[in-house]
Amino acid sequence: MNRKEFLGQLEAQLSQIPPEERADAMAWYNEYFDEAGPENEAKVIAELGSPVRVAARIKADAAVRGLGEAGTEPGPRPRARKGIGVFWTVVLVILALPVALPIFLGLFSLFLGIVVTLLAVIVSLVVAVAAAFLCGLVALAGGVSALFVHVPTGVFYLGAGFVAIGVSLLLALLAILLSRALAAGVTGLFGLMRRGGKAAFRRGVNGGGAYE
Amino acid sequence: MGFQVGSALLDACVLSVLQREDAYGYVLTQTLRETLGVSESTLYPVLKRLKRDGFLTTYDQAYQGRNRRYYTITGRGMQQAEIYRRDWRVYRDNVDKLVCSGGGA
Repeated sequence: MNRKEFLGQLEAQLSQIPPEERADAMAWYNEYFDEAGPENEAKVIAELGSPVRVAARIKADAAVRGLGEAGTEPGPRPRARKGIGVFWTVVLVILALPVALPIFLGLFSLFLGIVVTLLAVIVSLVVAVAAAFLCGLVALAGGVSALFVHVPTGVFYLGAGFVAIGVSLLLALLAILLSRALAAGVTGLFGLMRRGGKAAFRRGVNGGGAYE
Repeated sequence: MGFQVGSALLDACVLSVLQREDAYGYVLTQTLRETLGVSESTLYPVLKRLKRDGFLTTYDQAYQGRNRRYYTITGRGMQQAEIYRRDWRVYRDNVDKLVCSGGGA
């Protein structure tokens, strides 16, 4: 490490203290390096030790001074409070787990049940469409061959086939519309759950932050 | 050195050195390091505190194109140095009685 690196690290470490304090400390160490001369740079750095430790000393001094001055909030307090907030949030989450976990699992199962049911409805609709369409095709084929034997029977089967195909097409339309609506509904429900979960979590953290 | 240097003793030494003549940080540090074995990072907060308490002031002087911050003792500082000297003599004598009585001197 050279002088520039040392002073750079020191300044970074002192980012939390008031600017004038920081400038003062930087001036002191800059001057010290100047006076020691470039030939003693390595020696000075070895004597000073790590920038983190030097900074810790300056910060401790600044904090003590902050405590001594009446009416001024010492610097590190708000951060400490935030730390306690996070700590309490973790404690609350752990304590809430026995209750929250079953509720969460229940909600998840409910969600899964709804999705599976809807999928089953769609699948059964598709199967019904396919069956009706197949019936129509078979009836048409039967009708065409019956036409050569007995015309009224052939016409009957042709008509029945057309009806079945028509019904299957209508059903297919219904199935498409329904599955689209269901997909939108499920996506919406999922988004709602996620947003709700996030909001609850944020409330939890803020609520925890109010603790002290 | 095996003895811990407390803040009162440090203050007393700094003020006494400055009573002889004004000094800039490096010289002050070297002087005190020779005697007490303290480092520059120990001295920096001490000087800051003494300045805040009004026992010393600083002035800047250019030297070879850079800045030297000189420390100079105030009237209050001199009074305080006198108090420290008195306290020190008492303390030193008491410690002498304890520490040196075992040796046979």
